[in-house]
Amino acid sequence: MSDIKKIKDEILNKLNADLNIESINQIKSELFGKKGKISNSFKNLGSLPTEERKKFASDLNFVKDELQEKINKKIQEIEIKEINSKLQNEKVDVTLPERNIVQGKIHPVSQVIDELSSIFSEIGFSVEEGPDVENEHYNFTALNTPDNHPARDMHDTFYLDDKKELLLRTHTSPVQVRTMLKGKPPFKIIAPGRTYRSDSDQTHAPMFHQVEGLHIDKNVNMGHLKGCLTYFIKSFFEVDKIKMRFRPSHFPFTEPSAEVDIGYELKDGKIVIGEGDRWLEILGCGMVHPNVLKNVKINLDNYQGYAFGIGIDRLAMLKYGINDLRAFFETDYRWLNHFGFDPLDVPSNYRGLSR
Amino acid sequence: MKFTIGWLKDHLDTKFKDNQIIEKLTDVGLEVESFEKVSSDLDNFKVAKIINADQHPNADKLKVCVVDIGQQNTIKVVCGAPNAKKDLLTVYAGPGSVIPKNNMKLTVSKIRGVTSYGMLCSESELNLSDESEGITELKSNEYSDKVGKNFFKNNTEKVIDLSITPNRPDCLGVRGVARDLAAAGVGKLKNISNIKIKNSGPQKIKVSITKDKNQGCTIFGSCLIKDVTNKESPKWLKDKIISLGQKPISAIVDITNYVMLDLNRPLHAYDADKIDKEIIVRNSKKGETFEALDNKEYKLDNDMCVISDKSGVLGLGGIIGGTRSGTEFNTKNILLESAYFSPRSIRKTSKLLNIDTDAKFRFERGIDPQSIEIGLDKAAQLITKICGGKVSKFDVQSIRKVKKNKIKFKISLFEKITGFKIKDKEVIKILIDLGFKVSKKKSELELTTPSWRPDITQPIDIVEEIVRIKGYNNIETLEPEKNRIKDTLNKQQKLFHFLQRSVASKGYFETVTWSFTDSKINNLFKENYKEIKIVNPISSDLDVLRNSIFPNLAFYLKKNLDRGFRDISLCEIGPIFKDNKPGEQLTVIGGIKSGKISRLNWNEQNRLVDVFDAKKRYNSDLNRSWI
Repeated sequence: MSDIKKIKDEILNKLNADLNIESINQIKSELFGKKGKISNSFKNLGSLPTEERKKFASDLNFVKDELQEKINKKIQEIEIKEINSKLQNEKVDVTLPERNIVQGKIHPVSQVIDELSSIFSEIGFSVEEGPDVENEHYNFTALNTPDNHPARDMHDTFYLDDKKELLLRTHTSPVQVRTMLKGKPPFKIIAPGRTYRSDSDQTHAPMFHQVEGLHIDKNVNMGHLKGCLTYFIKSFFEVDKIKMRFRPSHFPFTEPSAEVDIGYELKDGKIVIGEGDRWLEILGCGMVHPNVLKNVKINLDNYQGYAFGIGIDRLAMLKYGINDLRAFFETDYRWLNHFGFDPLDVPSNYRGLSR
Repeated sequence: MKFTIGWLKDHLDTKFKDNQIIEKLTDVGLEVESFEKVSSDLDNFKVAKIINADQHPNADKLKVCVVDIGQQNTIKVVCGAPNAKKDLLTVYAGPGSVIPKNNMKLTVSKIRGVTSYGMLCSESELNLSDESEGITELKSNEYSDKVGKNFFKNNTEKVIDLSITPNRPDCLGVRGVARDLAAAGVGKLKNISNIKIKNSGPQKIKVSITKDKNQGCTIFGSCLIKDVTNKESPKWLKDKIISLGQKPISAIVDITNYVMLDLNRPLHAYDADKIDKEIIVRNSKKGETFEALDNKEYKLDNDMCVISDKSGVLGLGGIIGGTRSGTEFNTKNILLESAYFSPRSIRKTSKLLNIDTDAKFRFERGIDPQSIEIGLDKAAQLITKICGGKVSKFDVQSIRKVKKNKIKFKISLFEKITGFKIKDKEVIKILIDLGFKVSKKKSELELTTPSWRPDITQPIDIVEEIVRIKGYNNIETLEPEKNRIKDTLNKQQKLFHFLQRSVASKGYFETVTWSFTDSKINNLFKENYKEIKIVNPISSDLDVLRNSIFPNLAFYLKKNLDRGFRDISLCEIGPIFKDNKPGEQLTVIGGIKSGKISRLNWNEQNRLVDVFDAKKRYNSDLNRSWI
């Protein structure tokens, strides 16, 4: 019995000292290891007389439990102490430079094309495309542009052969013709894409972007045209109120034709869209000319409709405050980074177009 | 097309204010580009009064004048004119002015030790007359209360600049603009009376139009004006010409220009004594030459419409006259031409010879074939008034009758196209105001179109006329229906959209570059595709369509590296071309990367872009795009 007490006192004494995990593990094996003090005591059990054996066993078990509990408690204490000291000593300096993540960008023209598609999708337009290389027929003749029209001058059109049969399309309107020739009315399409004119200065680039719109159905009139474009402009500029003006103009492929101006004012040298006394020309449109419809074999008694053409680069400039058209095509890394969009920033109807 | 409000009012009786007129012009489709004073050098010329004229201390023939130019302080001008004297009203030009005669720019200068601020001008220096003896003397009863005011007063009238669409040649004349405004309710179009001039005697120079193939001239009207005294134009006419930014030449030339701007009726004046016997309007023969009024010699091809006499070509009909028969200040007898040339012929010839003139611009768009005699009349009246002379009878040769263009118009078409209705009575009034002859048969109108509107040929043109005059603001705005008959994007377009954003999301900056490129760079990438040359490239280093997406990407990558950027990733999605036929193109996406994937920093090692970065990109995107 005194042996047990002796062991107990000795151990309790040891446990009171300032211990670490290693020394406590040592104590643990000193007691409960194969040749440990407690284990040895149990081995001695058999050599004791029966009446003593019972009491000894009970006392030993009691001390064993007590010591085990003390040791566990001590381990816990040490662990908490260690965590606390780790927390104390191992702070992260978050002001160190971040890891380099390269963020890609979407070009403003692409972003605006997706915005347009989203807006027109809402009112039932689908997206069509046509070739960049066109022939003279689709680009001009079929669109009621007679062969002595000034637009055909070398000055305006890039040609790919000496006979002036093949050219780079000067507008997206040939897509109208191709679409109507390959299908049957009704038609309700937009056609965004690259267009080309041999013109290059501060405000003109030899390549630019247009979106063509075409809606042919029974009884589509100028009221529908006005409604469609009013809806478009409000949606695109994300404003409730916008001053708009339809004014008569002339295009060979539409009649009556109109140009649409929107109101703006200059604030600190910047264009602010919506109110103001100044007018900015933004698109051309009109009722598709009967000659065009005849050229694509559409029955004039049953079908009529409207078409429009909008400069995409110009829209992007106005909405996102970009001053220089030429910069769109110069691939300056700083420009792309500044005016480009996060690829995950996809324009959609439910979320809204821009952030 | 430029003109002043004052000029417009020669044709339009109106009480509308300037800004209302401006607004209405745009409303009817005559877009106002600007409405402002033409700021000209001539604004620097002021009416001035000499307060004192003293002898120059160091020069016998010079005077030092103290001049009142309407400002607080008088100024000092050194002047050599014998007529400079106290109290004379004259014209003063300040430092910075440019003298019209010799384009000399004035500065403050010392003349024999006396500082002179500007100059007092002679009539010759102002291009007012040949009078160069002494400075301009202004009448005191006219100018005494105008000291300090601009001398060239009409220059301060605001000029309207219209952008006229190519279908509206009639509005290249002030009268055409006035007619549109009157139809839209801005006042009343003034009548121009029928032929007023008193003619006497026949036109003695024989005129003939040959019946050549594709004869470009179908009508040639003329009259002879004898015993004229050509001179400088009177001030009112000069002012009109100057206000449009043109240069007065001589009364006869200025009058023909004035009638052209006023009625859109181009005219040409020949010195009748320089014409060899007769006028023959014919097709040119290859190799013929003539010296034109722009002082260039032109070599003609076959079948260009020329006005000639027995000795050869006098001018290119409707485009430019020649020096051989040009009028001068000593011209005594003139032959005035008023003709019709077909737009097609004018366009062909002017393009081949690369000539652009005011007359060409007008004939190319279509001149009123019925304005031959009205033009001759107006010009002859002005010439006899200013230069004197006797006018012959008008001689009009024509090889084709002018056809009247008739259109049957169902009134209901208007509502079908525009979506709104207006009263028949109003439709008829608008059309009559625009110059149509109208007869109504039930719901249909039988219309004869005005001879000055070559653009109107079918019913849809009539709809446009009515709706633009009535005003586009009357068109209702109909809410668009929100139903879809077809998917917005097809499968390929979805793929395009996906690839574009997928590649960009991996660190690439999307760019848009020209569809054309430098053939030298293109050759490095074109593989088996055919080189596609542009006939008229914008510059020699953008001479072919691109056969690959990479030439431009490589070019711009280098440009950015040159700008000092490192670690660049660019991508582009767009067309490349296999051949020069429509449809021979592919849509491709290409990416290009340069520099280091990561730069040495506190937790990463330097690593250059290598082939395995490219491989990863290539694999992951292609896997996801079901190619």
